[in-house]
Amino acid sequence: MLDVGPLDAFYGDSHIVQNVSITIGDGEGVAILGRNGVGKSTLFKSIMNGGPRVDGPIRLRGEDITGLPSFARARRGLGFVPEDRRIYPHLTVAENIAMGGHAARADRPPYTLEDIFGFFPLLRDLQTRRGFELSGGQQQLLAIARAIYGRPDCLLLDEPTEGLAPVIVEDLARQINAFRAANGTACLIAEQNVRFARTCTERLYLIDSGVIVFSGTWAEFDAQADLQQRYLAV
Amino acid sequence: MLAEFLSPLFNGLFSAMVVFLFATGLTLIFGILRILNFAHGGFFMLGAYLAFTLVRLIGGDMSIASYLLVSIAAGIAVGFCGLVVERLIFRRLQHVDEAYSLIATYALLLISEGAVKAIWGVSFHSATTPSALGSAVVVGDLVMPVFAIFIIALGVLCYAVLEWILQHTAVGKLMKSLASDPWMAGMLGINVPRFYAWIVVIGFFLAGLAGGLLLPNQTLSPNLASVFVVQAFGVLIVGGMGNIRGAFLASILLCVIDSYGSIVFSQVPGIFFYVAMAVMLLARPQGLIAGARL
Ligand SMILES: Nc1ncnc2c1ncn2[C@@H]1O[C@H](COP(=O)(O)OP(=O)(O)O)[C@@H](O)[C@H]1O
Ligand SMILES: [Mg+2]
Repeated sequence: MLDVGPLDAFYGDSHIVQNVSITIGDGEGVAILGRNGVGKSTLFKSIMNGGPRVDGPIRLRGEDITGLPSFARARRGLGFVPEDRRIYPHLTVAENIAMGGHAARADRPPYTLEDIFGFFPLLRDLQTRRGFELSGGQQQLLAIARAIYGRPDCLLLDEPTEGLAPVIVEDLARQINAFRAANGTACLIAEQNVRFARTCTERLYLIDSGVIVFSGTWAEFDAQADLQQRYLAV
Repeated sequence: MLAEFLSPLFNGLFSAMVVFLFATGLTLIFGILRILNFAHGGFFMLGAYLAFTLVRLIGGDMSIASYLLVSIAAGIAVGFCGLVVERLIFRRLQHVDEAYSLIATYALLLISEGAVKAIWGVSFHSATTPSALGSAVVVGDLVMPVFAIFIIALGVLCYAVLEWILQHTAVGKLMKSLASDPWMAGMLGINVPRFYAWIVVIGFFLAGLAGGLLLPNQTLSPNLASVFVVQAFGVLIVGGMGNIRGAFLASILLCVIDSYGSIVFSQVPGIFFYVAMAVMLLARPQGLIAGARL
């Protein structure tokens, strides 16, 4: 589905992401774990061509998308939720969702608003609210709804649980899983919340200072007790 | 008595709508692309000269309809110039320091002035007002030229149309979204560069259209490029840096104050526009309508 790298990414002279390779299979859920500042967001932005200078190949469904602008990558099937969510404050919930329709392809029309409210029932009651009136959890839900509206093949979620209360995180995991189970959408999730990441994905990469230091299934991760201590705990 | 009080108001509104018509394209481009187009006046002038040539070609007295059509034709021609300018220049200004925008658009202003001199020469020309707009309406002792009434109506209409598009249409909402967060728009699959190209074309169209519409009011010379620029920048800043409604309100506020000021202190006409602007910026440095772009 998505084959990234080996990839290097830079901000000016800082070499942030170093020789990183990740792959995501059709419909697969994969987590990228790592502390603050290790380069998770930079990697996501590199996949979307959204800022950093990038060196290295990116293939989506076998097609080389290296060098394509962000909008073209979205239209090829990447649905991106940035860590700061970036809901349009002046637009209503329904209008924000509809913005995601620009990424739909001719051969695959977007979901309907009804479909979206089926996946995320909470949004139905909020549909006429404006972006600036939403809580953090509602914004996150909306950002995900907007990203899936155009029927992406692969969803990229950058720290979706950041700043959310534990009960809301649990809800979010349930809804994401239900959506993916029903639609077979692949998903790459950057996280520091191990519990949430474990609920939503089948395997993971650990990243530290821009380098991948572990890759494997959750069982393999659990077998190496020191990993969490060394690369995640604060 | 009535005229003494109302005549400055009428004159102020007339200047306000002249400035606003001039400033719409400038405001639109600044609101969305964040490029301060110093060449705007040059393309306004080009529109006026093109309209002047068309009027000559048609010959005779113009009806209001042909005056409007000539202005639209001038707008379309200047819009095409905008397409070229976007391809060659504005596209390259997106990711560089603002100083480059300043230099590039200033150079473009010089080029547009040079082009006008090369094509139409440096001598002065003037167009006549269509005779249908040549009379005046007299209420008591207040005399209102029909052309001025017409321009005020056009200014208000232009504002109403832009405001309606921005607030109530899908395209307008998209424009506001792109103005507030173009990066995210790209992430959602919107072809931002192509959208920017359209905005530049529309901004230039509005410049050329204003050139045609205001032609009867102007003496054509290569200086025309700089006649309204400073006032338009003032309106842009006081209005809130790229907000159409703000620009509209700022045009009215500054021009009406200036109009009354020039009556009271007739030794220094025109200075109150800048006094009002300075006071406004001290009182509300963020502009009349801050925060919301467009
Ligand atoms: N726009 C930027 N310009 C320069 N440096 C940046 C920028 N964004 C992030 N960085 C730097 O890149 C490194 C990785 O940041 P980031 O990818 O946001 O990490 P994470 O998402 O894992 O917390 C940090 O050292 C950060 O300071
Ligand atoms: Mg991050």
